[in-house]
Amino acid sequence: MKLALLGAAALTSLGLLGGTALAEAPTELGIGMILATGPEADWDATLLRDVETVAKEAPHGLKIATKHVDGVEGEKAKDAMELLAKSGKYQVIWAHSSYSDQVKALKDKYPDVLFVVVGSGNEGLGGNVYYDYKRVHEPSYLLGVLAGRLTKSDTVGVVGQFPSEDVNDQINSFFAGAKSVNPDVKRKVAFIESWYDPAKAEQFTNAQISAGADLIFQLAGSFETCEKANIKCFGNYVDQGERAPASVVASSLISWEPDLKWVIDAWYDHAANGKPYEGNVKERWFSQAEGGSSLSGYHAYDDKIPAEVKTEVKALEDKINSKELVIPVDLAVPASD
Amino acid sequence: MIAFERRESAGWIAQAIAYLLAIAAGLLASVVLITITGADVADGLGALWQGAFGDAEAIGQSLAAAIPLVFTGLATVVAFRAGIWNIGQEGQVFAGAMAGYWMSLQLAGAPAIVAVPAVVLASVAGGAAVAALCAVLKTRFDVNEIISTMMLNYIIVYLLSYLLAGGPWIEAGSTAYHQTPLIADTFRLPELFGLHLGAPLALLATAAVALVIGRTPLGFELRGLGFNPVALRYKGVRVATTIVMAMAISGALSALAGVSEVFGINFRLRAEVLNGLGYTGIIVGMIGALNPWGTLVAALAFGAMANGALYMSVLTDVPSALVPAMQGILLLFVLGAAVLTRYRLRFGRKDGRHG
Repeated sequence: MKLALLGAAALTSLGLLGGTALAEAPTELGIGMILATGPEADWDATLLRDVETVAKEAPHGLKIATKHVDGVEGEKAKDAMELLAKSGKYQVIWAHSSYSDQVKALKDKYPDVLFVVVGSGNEGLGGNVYYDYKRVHEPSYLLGVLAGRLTKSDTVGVVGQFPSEDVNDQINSFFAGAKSVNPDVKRKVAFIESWYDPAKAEQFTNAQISAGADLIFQLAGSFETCEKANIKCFGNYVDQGERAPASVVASSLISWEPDLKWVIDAWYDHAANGKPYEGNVKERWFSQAEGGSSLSGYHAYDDKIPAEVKTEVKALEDKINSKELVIPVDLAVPASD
Repeated sequence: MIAFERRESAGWIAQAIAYLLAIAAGLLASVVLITITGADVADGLGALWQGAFGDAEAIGQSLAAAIPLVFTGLATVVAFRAGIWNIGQEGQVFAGAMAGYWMSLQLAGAPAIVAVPAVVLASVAGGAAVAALCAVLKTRFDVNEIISTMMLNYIIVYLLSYLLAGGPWIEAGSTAYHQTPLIADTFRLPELFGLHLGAPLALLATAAVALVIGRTPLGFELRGLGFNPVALRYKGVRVATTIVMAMAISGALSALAGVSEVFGINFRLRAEVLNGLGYTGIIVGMIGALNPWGTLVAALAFGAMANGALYMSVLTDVPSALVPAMQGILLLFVLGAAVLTRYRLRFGRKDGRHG
């Protein structure tokens, strides 16, 4: 068996088995992922969920195997990616946070591997490096409209992780949505300075409740606190209303499916047809209309929200999808009023 | 009734055997865990070994991971031997990295021959200053150093967060993130045999701490401070000065961990690459029995374990959540062995009667 393979390899290299133009179409693909934190964080959990969905769909008839490594930083991330690349089992390496320094050191050493860097803090490297981004500002705007309509104290809060650009854009458009329907709304903004820290999220949430907020956009995910304080909250990334129906009105959702398919197509074109990689230098994000983000359902709040508010939000959602309403991407660091 | 009794110090052979048994027991417990999850045990342990000591590259990575822990471990040794409970290594690592980075901004364009020493010195000064501040609070105002060092950790870590989150140190551009721009080549620690300057510095620091503690008047005072500060005062030693000295040295050592991570490996200042080095250093120093050479060995073991764990999580089906659990289990067993080499268990009633 081994001999036969060696023979085939020798023949291929001599151009006797079809040459490069007729390279055999690949049937398998390995996707190795470096997570930002770990499966407990929604940013990573959504990727793990969507990569399984895409694997089941088997694009191009590919049998897709996946592997993930939890939050490794700096040089350790480079070592992890190099191990994935060296193993030969992973043709796509998806680095789910700011890893372009490390990818830069590896991309030319493994020119057939397609690297993906995701989110804030990356540099577009081009070539075999694809630069993916997630913008959730469109559904965040819709949540803001809900907040502006539903608040009684005219004070709405946001508990965010870090003031980084792909957090700021969500917060800014949330407030833009709230102000668009309720100009009196006062903003409360806090950052817990961690990507995942439920204890800190609870402290900051309680502080905002004490400051009068009766609706909080929970980017850091402390919904028990909302429940205990008997206030309404919004979630992001996953449908938090499924987990905490008593407190969560709605969530802004993300999907990595269009992103994954974009990358898999690029890899397949390269592997099957020899098309050179054309990694993007400027970040690529998939809009709400393209399926990159969406607004969740209202779950237990479905009959508690006034019908005219629901109609208003639906109309705005359609307008965003048809590009009649364009929500600007505002990256400024948000502050409390 | 079970009581702990202090032992006569166990010989080094007995200690080595105790630690080896602890590692074996920890691995055994880990094997049970891996088996429960259904992953392949041989694969898992093989990858652990491969990552720890498998080939030259892996050994290099293990050593690189050990370097900062040597510094923070030694920082613990110096403070704890003097009976000063400095748990501010974490903040002192950050302070060192930040002072070094600040210096690199002041000297932009300077040649490496000036730039590298200036960065190292600035960082050492930064770490020492922060630690000395807590020492002065202790000697002047009787502020407990556990509280002051712990609280200062938060202040320093959040100061960096402020500087990087839209503050003056953030990288400009459309994809800003909480990190500085890349550090220019001239400021990076030079490489020797595939390891950065931090490696020889770590060895040198170990030897220096061993020498100072074991063979100099200052070392005598430090140890005396740990044993009996009152007696030391009656001997005419200025205890306050000694406390400040001990803390400053401890802070300076921690700062070197920050320098080696930022200027030797990652070339950007960001919190994630510094997180935990200080706290881990406390454990490393304790496992090293507050002995400089023991701390060096403990740091090397920690580095090897960290790199082995990385290989295991990348190369095998061992669930990634199990890797930190395994590290924790190994650590518990090793700490248990450390206790048992210094104390013995005595069964029976305290007063010696049975029944």
